[in-house]
Amino acid sequence: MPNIIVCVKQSYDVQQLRYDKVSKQFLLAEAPKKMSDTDRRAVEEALRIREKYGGKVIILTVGNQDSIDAIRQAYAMGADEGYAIIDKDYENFDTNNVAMILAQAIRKMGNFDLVLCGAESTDGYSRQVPVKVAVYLGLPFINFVRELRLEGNYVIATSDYEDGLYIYRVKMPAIVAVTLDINEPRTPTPSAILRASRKPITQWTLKDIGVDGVKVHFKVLNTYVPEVRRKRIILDASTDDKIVNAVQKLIDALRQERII
Amino acid sequence: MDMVTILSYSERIDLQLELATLANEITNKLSGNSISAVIGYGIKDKVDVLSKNFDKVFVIDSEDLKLFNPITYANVLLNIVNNTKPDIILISDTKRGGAIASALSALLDTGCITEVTKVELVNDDLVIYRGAYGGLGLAQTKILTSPKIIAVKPGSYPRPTAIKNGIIEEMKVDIKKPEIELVEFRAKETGARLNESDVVVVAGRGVKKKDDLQMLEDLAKILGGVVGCSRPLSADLGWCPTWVGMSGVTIKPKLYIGVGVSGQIQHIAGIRDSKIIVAINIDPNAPIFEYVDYGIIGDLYKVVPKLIDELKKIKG
Repeated sequence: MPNIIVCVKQSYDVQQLRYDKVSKQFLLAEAPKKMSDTDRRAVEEALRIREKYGGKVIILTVGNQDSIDAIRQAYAMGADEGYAIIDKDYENFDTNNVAMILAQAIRKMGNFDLVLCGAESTDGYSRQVPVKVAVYLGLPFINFVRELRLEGNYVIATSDYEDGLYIYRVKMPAIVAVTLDINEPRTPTPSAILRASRKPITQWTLKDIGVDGVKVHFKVLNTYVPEVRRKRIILDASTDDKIVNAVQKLIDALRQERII
Repeated sequence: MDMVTILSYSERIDLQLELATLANEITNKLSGNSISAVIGYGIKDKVDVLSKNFDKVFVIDSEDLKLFNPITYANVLLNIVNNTKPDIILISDTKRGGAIASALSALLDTGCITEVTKVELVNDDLVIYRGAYGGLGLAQTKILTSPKIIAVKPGSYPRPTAIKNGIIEEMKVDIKKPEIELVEFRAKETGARLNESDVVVVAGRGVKKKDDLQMLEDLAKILGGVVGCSRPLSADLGWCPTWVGMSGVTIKPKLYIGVGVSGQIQHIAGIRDSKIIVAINIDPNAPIFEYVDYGIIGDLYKVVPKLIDELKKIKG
């Protein structure tokens, strides 16, 4: 009966992120947020393991008040318990800080067999946090997992690397980071969403988990939308005649550009 | 910073050379040492080319490194870090490299930035550019601690011309093997090296069957290029071993042709620095048309064969 801790992040929904056309700055204050896509799959995978082998699915997040919503989303999917480490300076935390806080919280929670994370977040995309959690906890780590099963006290995990698929076997407790390909997460029912909104969440401060403060290791100077300097010559090829014309124009252009 | 020491690591020799270009760029301005780290199993015969591009090459070749694990590799790399005391550590941001960089950053309690596409020297300090918000944006960042760990996307820098005559030194270190066992390995087909080609034709979801990729191969062949896939075709359908775009391969060819590619921002992030961007798509509202030099709105199954025919006439 494995106890699985799933680390989740409430991210900006980058598909809906807008920016100011003049200043080229992102409009973050109005941007919708959601649980990271890979984290949602980590939750789904934990639920599937629970359905097969029993145990508990425990959600853990670090963030600000907005982040609590990620736990609600996981509750609506069927998770059992949720813990949120909330700090007002969260926006300034770097990946070392987040991983260290997650590791401290996991230590305090104790009694777990497996930690699942999404391999990368939807907005930050650094891919740094899961391996750092493993370093801080001193536990074995398997990355980019697209298939997962348990065999007694062991995890059998298929890692997706550039050159091939590596199937690893590791004794629990272990940390596993999953990819988008591992499953298709379930859509919660309206009644599950309603029940999730009433389910209690344990909130801790940094002090509660024994963290005195954080040292920030890097700083973002500016985030902006890079200028698109393209010709944007659009050719209509909706009929056979127009195809001939469009292809000819393209070839002429590529000649002028000295590509052909 | 005066006299910087830069340590570069990649699991791939060709990517080490890209890092050498960036390292040279920095040491040319600040003066210093450019050192390369090579770790793995059965790799020591392959490092000669590195000695021509770095001042020194450290090699750790051990059977205990046969099984890859980012934490094991980071701990091994830590030996070279402790020996050379670098100010900057460059690691190529492959799946393995990014995780090694991250693990090393935790072990050294120092800052690390992944997804880096450009590093600039401003007032003797490094301004580091990385993709932000799924590739829609660009972030200018600074690392406040030392050493600075920078994970550079493959294809961000060209290969250098060999100018050095470095020393190769083999190191023996204690390796704590991970408690992980490899049960099975299934190799992927090795696709074309997308980031080395002057012309890249990319297939998107508009391409209906895997067999239709042949048509794109024909187009690429006439132009002296290679074919790649967008993420759904690679990750979901397995038509290509890797994809063009964020978390896949970043390319900057002279000519990019997107065929049936809609142009999700994550894809655009991987092609943004191409010299000429061409797209063929039947949907006039496809976001890719915002980013093109030349866009053809039409059925790819009619446009591509016509384009091939016309190019054949020119090229014989």
